[in-house]
Amino acid sequence: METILKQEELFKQTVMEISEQLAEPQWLRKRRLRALKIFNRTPWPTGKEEEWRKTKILHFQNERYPVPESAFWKPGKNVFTRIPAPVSAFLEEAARYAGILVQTDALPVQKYLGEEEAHRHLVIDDLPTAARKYPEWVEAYFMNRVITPEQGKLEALHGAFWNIGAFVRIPEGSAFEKPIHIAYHFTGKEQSLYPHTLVVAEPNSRATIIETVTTDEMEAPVFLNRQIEIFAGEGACLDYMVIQLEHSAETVYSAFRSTLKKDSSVNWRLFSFCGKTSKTHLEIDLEEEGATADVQGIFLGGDHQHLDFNTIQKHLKSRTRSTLLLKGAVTGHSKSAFRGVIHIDPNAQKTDAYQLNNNLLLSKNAQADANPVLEIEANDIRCTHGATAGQLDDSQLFYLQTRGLPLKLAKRLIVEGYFKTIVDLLPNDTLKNAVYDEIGRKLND
Amino acid sequence: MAANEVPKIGLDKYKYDFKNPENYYFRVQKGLSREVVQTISEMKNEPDWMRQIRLRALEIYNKKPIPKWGGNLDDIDFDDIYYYIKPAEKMGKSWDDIPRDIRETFDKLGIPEAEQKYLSGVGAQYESEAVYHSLRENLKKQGVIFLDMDSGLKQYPDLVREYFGTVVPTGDNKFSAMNTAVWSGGSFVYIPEGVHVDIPLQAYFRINARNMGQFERSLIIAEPGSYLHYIEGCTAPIYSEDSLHSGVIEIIVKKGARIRYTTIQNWAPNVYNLVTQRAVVYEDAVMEWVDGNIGSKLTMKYPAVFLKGRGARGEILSMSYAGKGQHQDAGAKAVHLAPDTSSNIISKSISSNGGRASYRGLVKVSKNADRVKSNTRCDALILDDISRSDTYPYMEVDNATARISHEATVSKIGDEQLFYLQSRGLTENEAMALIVRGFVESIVKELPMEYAVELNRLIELQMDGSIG
Repeated sequence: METILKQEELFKQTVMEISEQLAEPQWLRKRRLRALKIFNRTPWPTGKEEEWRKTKILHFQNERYPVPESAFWKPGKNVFTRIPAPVSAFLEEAARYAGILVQTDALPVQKYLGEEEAHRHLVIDDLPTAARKYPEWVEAYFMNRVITPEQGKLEALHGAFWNIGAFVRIPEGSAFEKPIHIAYHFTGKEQSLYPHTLVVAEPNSRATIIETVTTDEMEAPVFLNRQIEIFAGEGACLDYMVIQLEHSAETVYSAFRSTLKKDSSVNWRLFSFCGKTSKTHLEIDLEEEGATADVQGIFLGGDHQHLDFNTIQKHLKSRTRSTLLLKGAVTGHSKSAFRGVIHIDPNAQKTDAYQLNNNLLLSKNAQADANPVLEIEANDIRCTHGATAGQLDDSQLFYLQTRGLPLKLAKRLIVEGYFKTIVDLLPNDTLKNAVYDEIGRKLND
Repeated sequence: MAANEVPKIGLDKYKYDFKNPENYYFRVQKGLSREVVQTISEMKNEPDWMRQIRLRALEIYNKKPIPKWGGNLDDIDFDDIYYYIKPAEKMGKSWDDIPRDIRETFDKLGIPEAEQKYLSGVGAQYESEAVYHSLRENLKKQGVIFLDMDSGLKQYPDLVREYFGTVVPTGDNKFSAMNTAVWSGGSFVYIPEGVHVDIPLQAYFRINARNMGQFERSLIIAEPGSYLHYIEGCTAPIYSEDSLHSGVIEIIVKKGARIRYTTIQNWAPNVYNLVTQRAVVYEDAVMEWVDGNIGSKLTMKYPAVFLKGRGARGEILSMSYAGKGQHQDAGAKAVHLAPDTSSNIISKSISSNGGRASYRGLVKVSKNADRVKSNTRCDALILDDISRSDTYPYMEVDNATARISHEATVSKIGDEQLFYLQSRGLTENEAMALIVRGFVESIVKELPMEYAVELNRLIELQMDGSIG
C-alpha cells in the first residue's frame, strides 16, 4: 500500500513538473491530473480481454515508463545540435510540403510552413505551443472528443505524461494540395516517449498528412506510447499516412483514432515496421450519416518482432461506408496478430463495410494469427470480410529464378509487389523509398 | 416489410410441444453435489474407476468459472436442475416393452416408422436413460456394436476404458467436466475394420420433465477403412423453466475410415444446449460434421476435428436459424496437427424476429503440419431490423506452408430478388421462404432426404408470419 502511495505521489510530482516546464495553461494541467487519476484507478488488462489475448500486457508495465527525462528538461538548456539523417532528408524537400514540423526527443526543433499556406490560415504547431496560442481549439478537442483517458489504462497514462506533440488545424473550406509532414525522431536519450498528434479538419476542408517516426540505433530499451486523434468535421476529407520506422524501439503502443461527422471521409494509410513488441489500436467512429473511411496498411515483421493490430470500424449511423485492407508479412521468428471488428449499430441501416487481412508467411518459424469479427445489429446492410494466410507462390519464384535472379532478390521482388499497391499511395518517392528500404533491410536480416 | 412489426411467429408453432405426466422410476434431488454423483454411479452399478472419474470431474467442474464469452449463461440456475431422472425400470427390447406414454412420445416423433424405413439402428433416450435400442441383425453379425453408453460400459468395459475421455478430456471446459461427472445415456458405437454401415444409425434424445438436465455421453470408434453415418435428433416440450442439455460426443476415426455425424437440434426454446463434440482423425481418414441448429434458447456448440494423421480431412457444415428469443452461438474448430491435412468449413446462419446468430470458429495450424489447406466460408442473412448476426473466426497459423482462407458475408434478402419473385405471383412470405431455402440449400442437400424435407418445413414454420 505504501509503495503504491509513493508511486502515485511520484507520478503526480512528475506530471506537475512536465506541466510547469511546458508553461501550460491551467485547464491543461487539470486535464493531465484527471488522466493520472483515471490511470491510478484503472486496472491493467488481464490478458483475457479479446484485444489483449495476443500481446502480453507485461511489456507495457515497464517500471521506467512513468518518468520521462524531459520532465527535467529546461528550455534552452539542452540545445539540439545535430539534425538526424532521416529527418534532414525530409527537410531538404521542404518545398514539396505545405508544412513540416520536426521534433527530436522532446525538443521542437524545426518548423516550416509555406507562405501561401500560412496566408490561408493553415495551422501547424507543436502541441505545447498550440495549447497556449490556440486554447479555444486545443481545449475543445485535445483528449476530449476522440481519444479520452477513459478508453484504457495506456490512454490514461499518455494523457498524464505526454510531453511532445503536434497540432494541425485545416481551416474551413480550404483544400491543400501539398501534403503536411509531421516528423518525430528519437535518439534514445529518453526512455519513455509520449508523442501526441491532434488534427482538426474543419468542415469542407481537405488535406493530406504524413506522420513519420524514426529512431537512431538505440542501446537502451525505449518505450513509446504514441497517439493520434483526428476529428473530421462535416464534409471534411483527410488522408492520414503513418510511417512507423522506429525499429529500435522496445515496446510501442499506438492508438490511432478518428471521429467522422456528416459526409466526411478519413483515409488511413499505415506502414508499420516498428518496435520489438508493438500493439496498434486503430479505430474509426462513423458518427454521422454519409461518413466514409478507407484504411489500407502494410506491416512486415522480422527477427523476433511481435506485431499486434486491433482495428475497429464502428458504424453508428446510416449510409456510412468503411473499407479496410491490411496486408502483412512475417519472416524470421516474428509473429503477427490481427483482430479486426466491424460493428454495425441498430441505427446504421444502409451501411456498407468491408475488411480483408492477407498474411504472407515467409519463414518456417514465423506465425500469423487473424481474427476478423463482424457484429451486426442492422439488417439493411452489406458486410463482408475475409482473411488469408499463405506463403510465396513457388511458380512465381521459379519463374524469376529462370530469368537469372538469385532467390533472395526474387523473394524481395515478389514481396515488394505484394505491398506495392499500398506503398504507391504515398505522395512522393522519398517516402516510397524509405518504405522500400525498410522492406529490403528486414528481408535481409 | 414493416419496420417495427411485432413478430407473429410464436413459440406455439413448435410442434414438439407435447408433454407426458412426469412419471419416473427414480429421480435424484435437484442440484449437483458429490452425493448426486455417487447416487448416479450406484444406480448404474458402475465399476469403481468410472466412479472415480466422475468424482474427479465434479471437482474440476466446481473449480472452473462459467465462460464469459459466447452466450449469456448468467440466468441458468444450476441448483434448480434435476441431474438424473430414470424414466423406466429397464430398457425395452421392443417398442411394446416400454411404458405406454413414452412409446407414444416416440410414435409421435415418428421414430419407429423411420426405423422401419430408413435406418439400420435406433437408440431412443428419454430423460437420463435409453429406453430402446436396436440394430439390424446383419450388422450385428459383422461385429458392429451399437448400444447405449451404459450398456456399452457394462458389456465392453475395456474398450470404453481405453477411449473414454481421450478425445474430450474432463477438464476441456466447464460443461465437459459437468457431463463427465453426471453423464447418463448416449451411444456407444464400434465399427470393425473395413465394415461399411450403408444405412444410417440414429439416436433420438427427448426431454420430457421440467427443470431437466440431460447429459448424454457418446463414444464412436471407427476402425481402419470403416464407414458410418450417424444421425442425432433432439426435442423437448416447452416449459417456462429452463432445462439444460450438455452432451459430450467423442469420435475416433482411424486410418482411412470415414464418419459423418449429422445433428438436427430442435430443442424447445427453454433449453440451454451446451455441447462439446470432437473427433480425432487419423491418417487419410475423413470426419464430416453436419450440424443443424434450429431450436433451443441458447446453443453453444462448435463441432471439432483434430487432424492427427497425415492426409486427414475434416468437413464441417453448420446451419443455424435464430428466431425470437434465441441465440445460436454455433461454429467449428479445425486443429491441424499433421502434414497434408485439410479442412473445409461452411456456415450458413439466419437471424429473424430479434434472434441472434453467431459464428465462432478456430482454424489452427501447428508448427510441424506442412502443406495444410483450410477454407472457411460463412454467410449470414438477417431478415429484419431487430435481429443480430456476428462472426468471430480465429486463425492461428504457425507454419509457413499453410494455405488458409476465411470469407464471410452478411446481408439481407435483396429487394430485386423479392420483387422478381413477387412479379411471378408469389406472396412476399413465399418469396422470402424460397430465398431462404435457396440460401441454405448447399447444406440441406447434404442431409438424408427425409431430414432435408423436415428442415425445409421447419424453416418455413420459423418464418411463417414473420412478415407484417
